[in-house]
Amino acid sequence: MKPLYKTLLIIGIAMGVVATSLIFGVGQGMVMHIREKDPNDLDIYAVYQPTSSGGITGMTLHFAREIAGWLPDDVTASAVTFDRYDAEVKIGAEFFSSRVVGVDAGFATLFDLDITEGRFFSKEDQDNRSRVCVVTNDLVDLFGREALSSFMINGVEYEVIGAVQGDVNLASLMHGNYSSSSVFLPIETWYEQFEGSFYAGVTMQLAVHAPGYSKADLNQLVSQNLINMESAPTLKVATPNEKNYNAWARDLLILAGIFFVAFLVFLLAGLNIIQIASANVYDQQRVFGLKVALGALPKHLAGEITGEIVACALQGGYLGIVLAGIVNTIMNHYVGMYWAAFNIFTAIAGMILALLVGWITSVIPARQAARIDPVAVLRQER
Amino acid sequence: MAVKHLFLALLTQKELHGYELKNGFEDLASGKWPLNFGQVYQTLSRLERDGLIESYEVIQTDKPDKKVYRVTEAGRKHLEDWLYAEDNWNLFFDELALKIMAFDLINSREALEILRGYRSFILRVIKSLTEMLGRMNPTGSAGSTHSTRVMLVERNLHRAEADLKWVTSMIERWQKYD
Amino acid sequence: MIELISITKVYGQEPNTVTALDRVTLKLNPNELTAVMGPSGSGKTTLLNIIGCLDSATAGEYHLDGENVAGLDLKAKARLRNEMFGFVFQAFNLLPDKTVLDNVMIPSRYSRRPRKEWKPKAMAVLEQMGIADLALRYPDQLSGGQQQRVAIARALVNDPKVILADEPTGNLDSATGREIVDVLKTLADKQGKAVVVVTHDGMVASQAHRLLQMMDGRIIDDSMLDSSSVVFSHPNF
Repeated sequence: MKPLYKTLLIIGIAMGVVATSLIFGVGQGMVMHIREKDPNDLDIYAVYQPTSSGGITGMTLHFAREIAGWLPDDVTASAVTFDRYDAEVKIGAEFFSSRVVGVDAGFATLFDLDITEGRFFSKEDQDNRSRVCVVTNDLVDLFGREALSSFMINGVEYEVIGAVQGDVNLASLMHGNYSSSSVFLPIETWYEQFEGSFYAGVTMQLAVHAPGYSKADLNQLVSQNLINMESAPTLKVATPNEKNYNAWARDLLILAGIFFVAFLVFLLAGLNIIQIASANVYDQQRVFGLKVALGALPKHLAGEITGEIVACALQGGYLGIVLAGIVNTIMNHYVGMYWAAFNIFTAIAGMILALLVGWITSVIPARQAARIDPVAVLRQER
Repeated sequence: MAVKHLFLALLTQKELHGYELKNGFEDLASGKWPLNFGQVYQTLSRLERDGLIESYEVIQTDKPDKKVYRVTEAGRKHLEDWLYAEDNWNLFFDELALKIMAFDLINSREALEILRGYRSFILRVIKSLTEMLGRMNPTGSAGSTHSTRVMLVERNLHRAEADLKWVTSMIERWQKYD
Repeated sequence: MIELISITKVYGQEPNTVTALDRVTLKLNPNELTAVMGPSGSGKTTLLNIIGCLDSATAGEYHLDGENVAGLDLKAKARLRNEMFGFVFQAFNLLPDKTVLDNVMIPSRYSRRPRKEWKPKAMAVLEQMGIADLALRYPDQLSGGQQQRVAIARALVNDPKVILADEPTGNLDSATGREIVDVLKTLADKQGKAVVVVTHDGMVASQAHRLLQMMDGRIIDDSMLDSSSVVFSHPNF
C-alpha cells in the first residue's frame, strides 16, 4: 500500500476510534451516573443468602421485623438500613464523609465483628432511642479517641460508645461498603434522625445468619408466610452473585447498546476507509493484476488487503486511543458531571472496533482486487 | 582482385612460399574463403610478372625444392595505393538487388512472399553470424574484439541488421498493396 | 506439450467485433525458443496471453499436456499460471517496495509449496541468474538488465515448463537485450523449457530456434531458424 493511503487510513481509523471512544466513554459515564443517582431502584425486593449470613432487602422496618419473626430460632437476623450519603458527620472540629447506617444490636455478633473499644449498643439503647453510636476502627485511628468525644451527625450530638473492626460481609450487603468509615446507630435512633417515622420508606434490608439453611429453604420459609399476607410484596431470595447479576446484565446490555451505536458511527467512518482502500486498489491495479497473472487466487488478494487494512487499523487504533484519552481527560476537566469514562474497557472497545471495522471494510476492496483482469491492466504498458 | 593485395600484405610481414600464402589468406578469411593451388600460383605468377614480388628457390635435400616469395618496393607501393584508394559502391551488390528489379514485372503477392523469405533468410544469417562471433570470442573478453576477423563478422552483422530493418519496412509497405 | 487447435479470439460485442486471433493452430515443444514477430495488432500478445491462460479463447481447443484447458475455471487457470508458466514482461513489473528476494518469492506465496522451501528456491534461481548478491536490494537500485534477470528468476521460481516473454528486451539497450535473450535461450537449451518470446526486434528473433510470423491474427509463417543452411559466399577470385 502506498504510504499516503496508509497514513490516510491510519488517521481515518484513529479519528473513528476517538469518536467512538468518546461515545463509548460518555455513555459509560452516563450509565454510572444514573446508577449512582438512584441506588434504591435496584433490586428492591431481594433476599439473599450468602454462605453464613444473608439479607432481605427493600422493606419497611415494620415488615423487616415481621419477616424476622418468621425465621426459626437458630437463625439470627439484624435489620440494616441503607447508608445515608447526605449525612453530615462532624468529628471534633472537622466534617468527615462517612456512612451512617442504622442496625440492630445483634449486628456485631451476626457479622462477627471485633469490638476494639468500648461496647456495641444494646437492645436497651434501641428501645430508649439513645443518641449513641459505634464507629469503625479506622475513624479512631484517623481522629484519635479524644476527637471522637465530640461527635455530631447533622448537628445532633452523639456519644461514641465503641469501635469495631472486621469485614461486614460487604459483598452480601447490597448497597455500600460498611467495613470502613462507617457509623452504626441503633436502627430506631437512625429512623428518628433521618426518616421521622418508623413506617416510612423502604430503606431496610434484613441480614440473616442462617447456618444450615440453603437458599431454597429460606425461599420456602419466606414465601409460605407471604401467602398468608394480604397484599404481599414481591420478595426473592438471592445469592450475592445473583443479586449482582441483574445489575451487571443490565449494565452490559446498555454498554452493548452503546457499543453498537459507536460501531454504527465507526462504520460511517468505515465508508471513508472503504473509499481510501478502493482508491488504493485502483491505484495498484497493475500490482494486483500482476499478482493475478502470477497465479494469485482471490483469497490470496483478499488476505493481503485485509492484512494491510487490519495492520493500519491496529496502528490507527493505538493512535485513536491515545487521542481519546487526551480528549476525555480534557473534557472531564471542564464538563464535570457527565464525565466520560476512560478506562481499560474503553481502550479495549476502541481496539476491537478498529479491528472489526478494518476487517469489514476490507471486504469490498478485496473483491475489487479479485475482479481485476490482468490482461487489461498489464496491456497498459504499451 | 583482392586476393593479390592480401598476398602482398602477407608478404610485407615476411617471406613466404606459396602454400604458406594460401594458408595465411584462408586464416585471415576465417576459413570462409578457400583457395585452390591453381588460383594461388596463377596470382603469384601475375604478381611476379608485374614486378610486385620476386622469388628464389630454396634447395631442400629430402623434399622437392620450394619457391619463396618476397615483396618488392613496387609491390609495397601498389599495396599502399590499394589500401588508401576510395572504393566504388556496388549498387547491385547481391542477387536480391536484381530480384527487386523484377518486382514490377511479377505480382505483388509474389514479391511479398519473396521479401518474407528474404527476412527469414536474413534472420538466419544474423543467427549464423552471431554464432560465428560467439565462437571467435567465447568468453566475451574485450581484448579479442579488435581482431580483424571480429571486425569482419561485426560489419556483416551490422549490414544484416540494417538489411533486416529495410526488409521489414518493405514488407509492411507491400502489405498495404496486398 | 502445448497444442493450440484452430484457436480464435474475438473481442467486443456484435457488430463491433475485432478478431485478434483467427484459427491459429500451433504446437510448442520443450527445448525450443520460439520467437513471435508481426506488426502491432497482429495478435502476438493475445496469442501469448491465451497460451499463458491469462485470457480465454472464443473458439478452438487448447491442450496442455493432453488436458483441454479451454473448459477450466478461473481458479484452475490461476493454478496453471502459477505452476506451468513463467511470465516475463517488457516493463519488468517488479514490485518497487519489495526486495529482489521478496519479488522472486511472489509466485511461491500463491503456490502449494511449503513455506520453508520458498527462500532456498528463490535464492537458487537468483544464483542461476547470477544475481544472488543482489537479493536484498530494491528494484530501483538495479540496472534494467538486472531487473529483467530478477523478473526471469521470478518466472522460474515455481519450475514452470513454459516461459512466456512479451517484449523482454523492449526496455533494454541492444547489448543488454542480447544478454537477456541468451539467458532465455539457455533456459530452452539447458533446462528443457519451452520459451516463447514476442518481439519486434529482429536481432532478438534471430536468436530463436523457431520463428512465427503473424499477420492479422494468423500465423503466416512458422519456420525453424536453421543457421546451418546459410551459405556464405565470396568473390570468385
